[in-house]
Amino acid sequence: MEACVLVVDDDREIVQAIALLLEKEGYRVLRAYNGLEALELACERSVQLILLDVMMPRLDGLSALMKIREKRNLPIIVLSAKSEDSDKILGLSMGADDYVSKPYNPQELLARVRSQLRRYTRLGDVHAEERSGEIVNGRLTYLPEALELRVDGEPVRLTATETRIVDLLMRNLGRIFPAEEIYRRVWDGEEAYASENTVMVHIRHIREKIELNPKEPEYLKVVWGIGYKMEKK
Amino acid sequence: MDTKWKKSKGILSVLFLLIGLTLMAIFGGIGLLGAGSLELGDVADSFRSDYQDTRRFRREISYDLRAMLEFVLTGEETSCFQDENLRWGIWQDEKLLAGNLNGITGNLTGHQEPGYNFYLEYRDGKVQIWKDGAEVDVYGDEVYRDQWEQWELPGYRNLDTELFVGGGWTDSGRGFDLSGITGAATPMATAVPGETGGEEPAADTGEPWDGVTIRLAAAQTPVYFYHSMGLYDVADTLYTMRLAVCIVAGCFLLGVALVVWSLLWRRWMALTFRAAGRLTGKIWLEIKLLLLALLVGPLMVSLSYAYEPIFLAFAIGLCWVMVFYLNDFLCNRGRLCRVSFCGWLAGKLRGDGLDLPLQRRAMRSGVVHLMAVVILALGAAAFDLELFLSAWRSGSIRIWVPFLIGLVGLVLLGIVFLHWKEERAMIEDLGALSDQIEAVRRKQQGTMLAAERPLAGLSQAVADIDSGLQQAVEERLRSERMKVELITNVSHDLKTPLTSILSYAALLEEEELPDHVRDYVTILNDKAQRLKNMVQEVFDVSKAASGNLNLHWEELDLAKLLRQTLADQAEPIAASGLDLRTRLPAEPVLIRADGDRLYRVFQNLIQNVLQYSLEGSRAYLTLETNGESGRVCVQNISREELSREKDFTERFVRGDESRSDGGSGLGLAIAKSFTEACGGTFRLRTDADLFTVEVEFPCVQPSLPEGTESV
Repeated sequence: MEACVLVVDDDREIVQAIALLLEKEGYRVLRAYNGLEALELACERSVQLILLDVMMPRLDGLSALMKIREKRNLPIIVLSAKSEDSDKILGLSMGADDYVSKPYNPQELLARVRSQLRRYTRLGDVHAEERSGEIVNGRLTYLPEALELRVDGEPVRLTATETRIVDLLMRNLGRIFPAEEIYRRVWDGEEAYASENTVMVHIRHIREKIELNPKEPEYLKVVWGIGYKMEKK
Repeated sequence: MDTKWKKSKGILSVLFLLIGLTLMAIFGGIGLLGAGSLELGDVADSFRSDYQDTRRFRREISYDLRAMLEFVLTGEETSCFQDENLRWGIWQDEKLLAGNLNGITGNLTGHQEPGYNFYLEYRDGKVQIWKDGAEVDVYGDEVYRDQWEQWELPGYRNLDTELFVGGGWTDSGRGFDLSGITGAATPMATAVPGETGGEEPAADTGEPWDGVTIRLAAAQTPVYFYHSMGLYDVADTLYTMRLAVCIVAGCFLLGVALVVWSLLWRRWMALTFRAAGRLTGKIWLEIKLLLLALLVGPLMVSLSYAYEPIFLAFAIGLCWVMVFYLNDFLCNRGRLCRVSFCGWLAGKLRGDGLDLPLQRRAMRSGVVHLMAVVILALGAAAFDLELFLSAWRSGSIRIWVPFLIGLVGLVLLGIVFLHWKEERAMIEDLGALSDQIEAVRRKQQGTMLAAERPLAGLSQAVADIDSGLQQAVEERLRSERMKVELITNVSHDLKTPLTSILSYAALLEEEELPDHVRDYVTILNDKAQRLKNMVQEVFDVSKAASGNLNLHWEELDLAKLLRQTLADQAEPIAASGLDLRTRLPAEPVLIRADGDRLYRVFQNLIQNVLQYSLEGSRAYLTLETNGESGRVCVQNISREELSREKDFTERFVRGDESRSDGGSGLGLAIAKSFTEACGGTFRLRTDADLFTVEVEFPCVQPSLPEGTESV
């Protein structure tokens, strides 16, 4: 079944562009040009995901977001020209599931839509699937016994070294590891001067596999001047 | 209330100390003088309840006995024969020779006479004494010693009657006519001539007192009579001495008590003395010395009247004053000379309290002028007074001339003093004005002079300049803020159309297109991407420049951050073909900064190097630390010739004028503004084609970083 996405923006060209992008991927698209229309459509039609602009006439995005949240529980991605951290935090705290700043990267936008939809459709049987010992962190799920990392429920193919790094970081969510420590624990005690470079290369590869936008990572982060960590969501 | 009590406590304790010391000095002195003429036993005797139990009484009785024995030998009477407190009789072989037995029945052998409790009997060169009916042991071991408790009476082995009577009897020689003397000299003695005549042969054969019996009785309580001497005097002296000892000792003890009391309150006393010291410290030394001379001079002159009570009082008062002089000396040791007229004058001449050389010079000349005027005025006044007196004496009509001169002089002096005050105020104002200007220079709030001060106008002008300056600065700040806001808004407004462009360019790229059209689309896409980056960077740099950056401060290792950044940029560095040499210390260089911003700083610097370096050249990235700060130095050889006039950290400035490369021209501006936002310093140097950037951060002492310790 193809999912139905509601795209809301006061700029018709942008709505059109996003709609074309999504339709090419096989989604059904509903269009709205202000907050009130979005509210109406979200309540009346069977919508699986909403892409919502913030600055709109009649009813702004964040107010619409709150109103929709009262009635429906579905993933909402906020799409805004405000790219400040504070704007992102505000949007997420109002109930948005994700935040994409304009101008967006089409591939990244698609990845985020896909990710949200997969999580949404999976929500029904997520509890049935949950096994003991699972580590769930946002979009990531790690099965320590199987040494398996899943992103939005899909297993990711990792090399042996990458798996060991992921294992270390997923077991210690939020903890900062200096490169030397990662190196010592993953490469079994070999001291190397170039540990920083080696670790960084692997981190970058893992990022490409798990992050929606590897240039602005959400999970596997560098704490500059200190070390690396897996962000706890 | 409380402080008042403390104050009076202090004053009281000082008073107690002074009075106590004075009492101790006076009565201690009297006591010492008395101790020179008295013996301890006298003092002890004076406190006995029975006057017969004293040495004075024993002396008196032995004196009486000696007088009677001498009377037997020489017939001389002494005053003690008239003592009404003494009853006595001299018997020769139980025949009464002389005596005073008024009110006595019998011959005093009964020892029971009313009012008399002390009886003495001399017989055969020995003495027996009864007191209160019991016989007293007079002789002890029969050796006489000159001791307090011993009776000095004949009958000891080393003190017989001859020795006892001593000189009186040997001087007169022996063999005098006893009967003649007794008959002539004793009116109350019952003369028995026949018997005295019968005594003579005895004198020839033995001592003249052989066969003589003397009996004495002393009154229990001596009474006063006309010739109040003898025993009454003994008792009375004891009483007087007792009183004197009591008074002296009492006053001395009172003095001691007062001193002790004042010592118990010494905390408050010290406060009072310190306050007194502060008070006296303000008085000029000359005045103090003058007062001292006025006080000590007359005392020295009148030393000859040293025992006059008024002199003593004066001396005591002077001692008290000297206490305060001493206190003054102790409290103000270092400042005694400075707090004086000479010191004051010297200070004025030096210009103390005035900071500016101009002020000091003005003050110095002012003081010199004033002194000259004062000296001249004094001379003129003396001359005028002389003139006035001579005119007065001669009764001249021209007496009004000196009077007028004096009046005019006073008025002139008044004017001079007013002028002097004004000049002083002006000199002070100069200092205040300089302070105000200094405050303006430091961009602080200066205090303006009051409107009535002489230089108030100048001060107002300075204040006006200051407020104008502040207004200008504020205006500039506001316009800067507005500029930042404008850039923020513009960058935001640019993003919406940019979103459409990028979206449709991306859609176009997906279409089936002829090759040349695909090239166009690729160019469109690239340029739109660059525009997007520029908009974001403009936004970032404006925020940093306006100080609106939200920073996440943490303690981090600058060396590690550089290593991470290099690792992060490893691919572009490798691809650039440049030889990037790095030198980073192995030990941590801890600083406080925002790691994400700092990463942007060095990322931009490295990108700058990669973008603008001469192909194949070497570039250097080094970190050095001296413990207080860490300094990162990035050096590369520029591909283009570097212009000396250019400030590369300005926004949109680039090495090449054509702007055909891919950079936004904001990299260094971002690096600089982020560095400064994180508390570092950013320096840029060009030397021919060598391009050097130095970024310096202050180091912090290492504290235990969170979350980095081993599991």
